[in-house]
Amino acid sequence: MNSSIGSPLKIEQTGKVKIITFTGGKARDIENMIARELEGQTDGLGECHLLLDFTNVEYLSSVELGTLIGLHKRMKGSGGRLSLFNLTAQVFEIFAVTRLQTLLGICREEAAIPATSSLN
Amino acid sequence: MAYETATPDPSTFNRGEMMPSRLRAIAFDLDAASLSSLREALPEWKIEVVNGATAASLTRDWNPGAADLLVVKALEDVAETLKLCRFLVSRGIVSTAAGEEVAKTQGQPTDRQDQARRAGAPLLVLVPSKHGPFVKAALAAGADSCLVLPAHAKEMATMLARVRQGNQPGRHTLNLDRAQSEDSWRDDGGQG
Repeated sequence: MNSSIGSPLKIEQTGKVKIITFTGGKARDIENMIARELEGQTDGLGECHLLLDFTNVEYLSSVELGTLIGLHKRMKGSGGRLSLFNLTAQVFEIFAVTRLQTLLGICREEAAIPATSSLN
Repeated sequence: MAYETATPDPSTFNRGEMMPSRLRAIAFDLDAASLSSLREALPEWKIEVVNGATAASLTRDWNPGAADLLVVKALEDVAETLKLCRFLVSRGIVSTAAGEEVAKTQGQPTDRQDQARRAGAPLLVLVPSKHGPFVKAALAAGADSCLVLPAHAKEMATMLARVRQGNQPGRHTLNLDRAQSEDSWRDDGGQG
């Protein structure tokens, strides 16, 4: 994930909906920017719907994918929900090749390539 | 407001129980391509189409009954679409499959929105491409997921399967903690 240096982490909360927008910029020496930016922000969310805005995220490492899976598991365990949105095609592709889009709630930014109209 | 197939089909009810046996989706303002994709994604479902509905028009006379999926296509009037989303979520439309379970909980003091969320009736919003702020607003308004137009049948089916499972872990993640702790190939660091 490209991160930090740019705008600070943006956090909005309304009722049971919490929105976290990851920062922009570049800090490639940090292995798990997702975990670093979420640190302390996802505790005690309970039945909250947590929305993660990936607008500024240009790529993800496998470690960061693991962080998101763990977060999904924790949210589900506490009766909450996790949704990822504003993913670029490049970042969405990472979830697609790992089939994580079938596990996580993901809303991409651009339309899918109509490879086939069939379900199979 | 136009409402197609608004009258319940008696053939969809089991004798005696009067419970719907066929899953039902209500689609708001879907274009032809999206409706076609929805029908392809849900071939066995009863899909009812509502055109021109607003939160204000529905509050007066709308009785949707049980439904298993709500699909809303974003209109040019974004604010109106968000109002509709909020209305649908607050209305607490329950799934046909979960109707019996919900009936058991009636009378208990529960939050209506939470009850609807547990019972099903996921809300899917179809949005134009590059409408990030709207996606954010729709999710915040209670949508379970957003798909970018043109929405394909496979995407719809995948989304619905995930939401209807209640975001349950799959077989690869069901026992994630145990699997990680037992992974003999796990790299604990250090020089190789």
